[in-house]
Amino acid sequence: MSDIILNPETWVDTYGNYLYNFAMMRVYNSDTAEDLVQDTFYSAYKAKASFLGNSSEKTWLTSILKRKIIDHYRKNARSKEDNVLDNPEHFQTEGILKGHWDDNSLPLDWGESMNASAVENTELFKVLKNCLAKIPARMAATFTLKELEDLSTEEICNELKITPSNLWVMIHRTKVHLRDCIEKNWFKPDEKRYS
Amino acid sequence: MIWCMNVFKKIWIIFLKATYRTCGEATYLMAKEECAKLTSSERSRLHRHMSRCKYCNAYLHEQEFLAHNIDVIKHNIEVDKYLYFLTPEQKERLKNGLKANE
Repeated sequence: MSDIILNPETWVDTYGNYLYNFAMMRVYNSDTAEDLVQDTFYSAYKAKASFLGNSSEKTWLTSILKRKIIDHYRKNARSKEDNVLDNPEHFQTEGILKGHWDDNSLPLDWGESMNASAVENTELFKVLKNCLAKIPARMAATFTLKELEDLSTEEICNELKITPSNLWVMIHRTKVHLRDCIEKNWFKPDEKRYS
Repeated sequence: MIWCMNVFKKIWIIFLKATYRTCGEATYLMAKEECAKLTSSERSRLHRHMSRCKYCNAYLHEQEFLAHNIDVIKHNIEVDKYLYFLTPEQKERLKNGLKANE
């Protein structure tokens, strides 16, 4: 039996903000994040008898939340019709330079912005989240599980029931779309565009 | 003279296209490389493309910058430097939800 005594009545005050931030990093609206935290507390409360004390209360709650987030993405990623995010607007679709960057999507030289202060980088993250909120759930899921949840290719493919090559294509499309979205929302128009 | 230049330009572009991956393929290989090992042929084509394409190099730097930022923010949350805070109403709802389960 565990030496650590669980205190469900203190969970909200002690871990609420931590779990909420953890969820907000990985899902893209506050209602969903709150629901996931609520579900986490609910599941943890039901399973408190099985808590072995091998980890801290915080680590245990976080592992439950992680599972909830993966389940959330698995459910949302089921719809197959929204899994396509075409890139033609980012790459030229015809002519001799087909497949190369479109003039309107040429990557910016981010230059000094890369040395931005922590506050500005926080703003960048908020822009990234807004951009992720606008793309199809399946695409956002691959990016989030890969970049934020650090799941392996195999784990993501198992969770989302996709093949590795499908995953690479989706991550590629998502990243190309995100950088364009970030540039259009984080920088002033035409700032630092290559001549 | 201009006609000659245009012909030369077209031949040069056809040569480039045949030799180097397009930007679309290069960025795809960058994404693939994060998840899996590239074949030696893919690696060398990506390397050749990157040695010539300033736009794809800018793209790569952007991706590295984003990844670094995400790591910083993840670390900040671990050391309790939060970006978001539960409102009193949200806390109340969470507490009520827990009480309802007791």
